[in-house]
Amino acid sequence: MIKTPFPKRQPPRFYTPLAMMHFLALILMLGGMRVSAQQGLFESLYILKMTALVRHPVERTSGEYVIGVVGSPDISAQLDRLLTGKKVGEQAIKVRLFDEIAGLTSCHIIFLPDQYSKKLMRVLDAVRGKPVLIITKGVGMAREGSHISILASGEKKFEINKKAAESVGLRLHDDLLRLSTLVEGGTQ
Amino acid sequence: MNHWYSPTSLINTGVVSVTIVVFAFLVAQALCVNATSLQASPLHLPIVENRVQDSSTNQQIRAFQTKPTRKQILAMKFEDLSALSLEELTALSTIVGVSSVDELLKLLVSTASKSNETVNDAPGIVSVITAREIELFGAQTLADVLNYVVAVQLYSSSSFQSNFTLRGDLIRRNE
Repeated sequence: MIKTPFPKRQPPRFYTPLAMMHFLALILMLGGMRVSAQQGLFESLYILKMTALVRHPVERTSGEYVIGVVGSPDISAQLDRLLTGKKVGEQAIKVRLFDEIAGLTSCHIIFLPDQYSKKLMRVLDAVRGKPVLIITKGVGMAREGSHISILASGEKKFEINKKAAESVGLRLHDDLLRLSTLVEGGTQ
Repeated sequence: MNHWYSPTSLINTGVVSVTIVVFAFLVAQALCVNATSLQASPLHLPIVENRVQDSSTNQQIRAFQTKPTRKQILAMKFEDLSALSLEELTALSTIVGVSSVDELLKLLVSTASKSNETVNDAPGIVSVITAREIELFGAQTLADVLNYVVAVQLYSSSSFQSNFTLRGDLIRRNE
């Protein structure tokens, strides 16, 4: 009998269940991505609806309607894909990504994703006194000075700092206030 | 000769271990998603106008007055959803519910501090029972709900009253 230098080896018996687990894991990951995408979709929809429910001063009702996203290219790209082409009155919506705080005063709305919430104070300082609606995510952000915070759960889906918004000349529609918890706080 | 401690075996064992851990995490996450997606008899959730794109014409929007399922909502397109009011959208997002462990930790609770805070921040041991879970339990009374809470044990002494113990202590009579 000739002894070959590289005998054919049988694959271990756990290879088949291992492959099945990889396959199932892939399916589960794809399912999770779909749900995450849909929830990002709801945030985009909320922002779109808020463009109609928040009134800016007259001097900001011409030109482009700029929605600024701080920090997150992914969220900016998604908002850009979903909202570009829509209009607020006669103003075409334009989504811009801001890596730095400079230039934020040109925005009508600034969206601060939750992973960048630590930048809120710097954003507030940059747009202090300007009619720029600041939207954040998470509990307590409106108490710290943002105008609207989108909540992940609860009966009310938004926290609104009405006093801070009105102090910079923004007017919030009753339909928005009715769906929100009103809070106070911040240094606007 | 293939010893158990040979490099190939160790790599295989490592791959299997990592795969099992990742798989278990994904299954747990999927169960979390699916638990919130199950539909039971409606209790307090609002009935919203459900608009679904008609596949036959791919343009026409038909509306019907039922509570949409989570699957239907996840299948809806941006254009369909953007036609809804903010109130309807918030109702739909409630049905979509909690989708991950991360979001579960962001659930708001009101404890001794008498203000809304996340489960992580709350200064106490908190068991969260969502409206969705109460629906899934089919609970009709407080006792039905508490039966599902860990460390709470109920026993009835008559048809109209039930006693319960919390972490080993008999603390209250519920009549």
